[in-house]
Amino acid sequence: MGILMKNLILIIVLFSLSYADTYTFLVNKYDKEMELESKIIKKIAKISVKQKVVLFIPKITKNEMKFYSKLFTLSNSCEEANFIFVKKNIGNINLCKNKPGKLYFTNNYKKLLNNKDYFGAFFWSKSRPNIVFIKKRLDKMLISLPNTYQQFVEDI
Amino acid sequence: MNTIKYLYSAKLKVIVSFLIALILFFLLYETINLEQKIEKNMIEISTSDVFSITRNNALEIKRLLGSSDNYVKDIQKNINLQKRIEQRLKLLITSNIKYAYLLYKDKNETFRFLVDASKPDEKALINQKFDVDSQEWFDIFVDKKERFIQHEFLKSLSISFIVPIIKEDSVELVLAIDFSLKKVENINSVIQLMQNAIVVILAILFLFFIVLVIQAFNYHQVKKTAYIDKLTNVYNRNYLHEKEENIQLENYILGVIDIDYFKKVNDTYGHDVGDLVLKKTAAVILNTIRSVNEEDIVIRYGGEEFIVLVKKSAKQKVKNRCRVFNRILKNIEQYKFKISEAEDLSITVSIGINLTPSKYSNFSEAFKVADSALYKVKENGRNNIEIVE
Repeated sequence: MGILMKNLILIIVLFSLSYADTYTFLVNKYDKEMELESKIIKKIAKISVKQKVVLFIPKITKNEMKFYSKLFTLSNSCEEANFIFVKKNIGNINLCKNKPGKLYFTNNYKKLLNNKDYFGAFFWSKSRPNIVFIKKRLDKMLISLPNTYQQFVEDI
Repeated sequence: MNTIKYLYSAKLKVIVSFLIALILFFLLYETINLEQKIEKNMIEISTSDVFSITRNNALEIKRLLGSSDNYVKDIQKNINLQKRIEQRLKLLITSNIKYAYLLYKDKNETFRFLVDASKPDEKALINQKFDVDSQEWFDIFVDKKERFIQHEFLKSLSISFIVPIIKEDSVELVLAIDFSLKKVENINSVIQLMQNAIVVILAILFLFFIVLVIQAFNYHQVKKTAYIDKLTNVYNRNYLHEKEENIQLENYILGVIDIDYFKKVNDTYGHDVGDLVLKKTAAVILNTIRSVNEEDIVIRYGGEEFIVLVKKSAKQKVKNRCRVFNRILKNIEQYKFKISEAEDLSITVSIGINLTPSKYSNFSEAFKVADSALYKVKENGRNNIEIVE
């Protein structure tokens, strides 16, 4: 019976594993979003900041820290960072305003339109990832994006 | 003989396990296929009404725009028109339809919102850029055909349905609705029930197969034991009764072997020695025929009498095949039956042979002829062979 059982178990296990995604969602969707977001921000920061990126996310959560710390050098304060990604509803992002050389990015399209400090935004529109850069602000901040990013640039 | 039986048994196990695995593999594969077909059909059935309503909305928006020269510009300029379209789109929003919106594509091939019926916190601004997630969005401007797009990786969206709004054979606007995951989750919950039932059936089938195989092997083992004489390890009379009618007499020479003066051995040395003599005699017979042909059959017919069916060979003449009986006779005569540390016993056998058992109507008749020949040997002094042709 040994051979019989081994053969059956092996075949069933292999076959079931190959179709595992049919049965269950193996990965938490929220984590997948966060992972995607952190990777996109990593790319944007890399092409925008001339030197090594030091990221500051105001009011960062533990989950955000889990994903962002894998890709970035994180800072606890605005002063030490050169790329600031504002995700939460915070009243004042001008903590470092008097200190030049810092780039501000947001996850809210309306904030992007209303605050000239932001040069771009990554946000979910109709549950789809969207990226917008504002041309005038890119020019002002001397940020030059590769051609592949031109589709996200808005001349507003 | 035992090696062949073992190999046969192992081979059988592999074949049976392979067949069971194949059946289970097939059932699992079909189950998954069935599940996917059901999901597709259920999505079609449960969304077909919504698709019709969305089509009607697209027609209604077109009617609202009337004879406009430029649909996009007219909507951009006319807030009242935007509100009227938004009111219509809001009617599409349900617990299953998460978003309904109207888009256009600018000269840079960028999709932009014209009207969005979403809640205020998710509502897009007019002309806000919309990064689409599939080539299908662009294809609708080419083939001008409505389509639904299934989302594999999007957050909380399952499918989108997009309808073109055409003006003078050109797609001017696209009406889109996005179904929430809830829709598919509802469908999946029904499928899950079916899936659970199928898994239970498969598990029962699997157990049934396992029990069946175990029983089959047990039956095979029990049957094998029932046919083997425990003392001598050759076939017993049960085997003969079971197989008698199936033995192809034309393929065999039938020999009957009887131990000479066996009663005397029993009376003189006791039953233990008698048993030892029977055991060793059978072993000598088996060893002698094994060196000749694996297909020969040895049966303990009863007491000290054995039947040996020697398979005829196409290559050898019948009389040559008879030589195996001579060797049995000599090997037993020469064998020293060790009955104690100090004492050996020599015994002889008498053999009656029916060279052509197929001449007789059945095994029993053929046996009688060989047995008569054996009786003749006994009468003529034993330790010899008598052949009937």
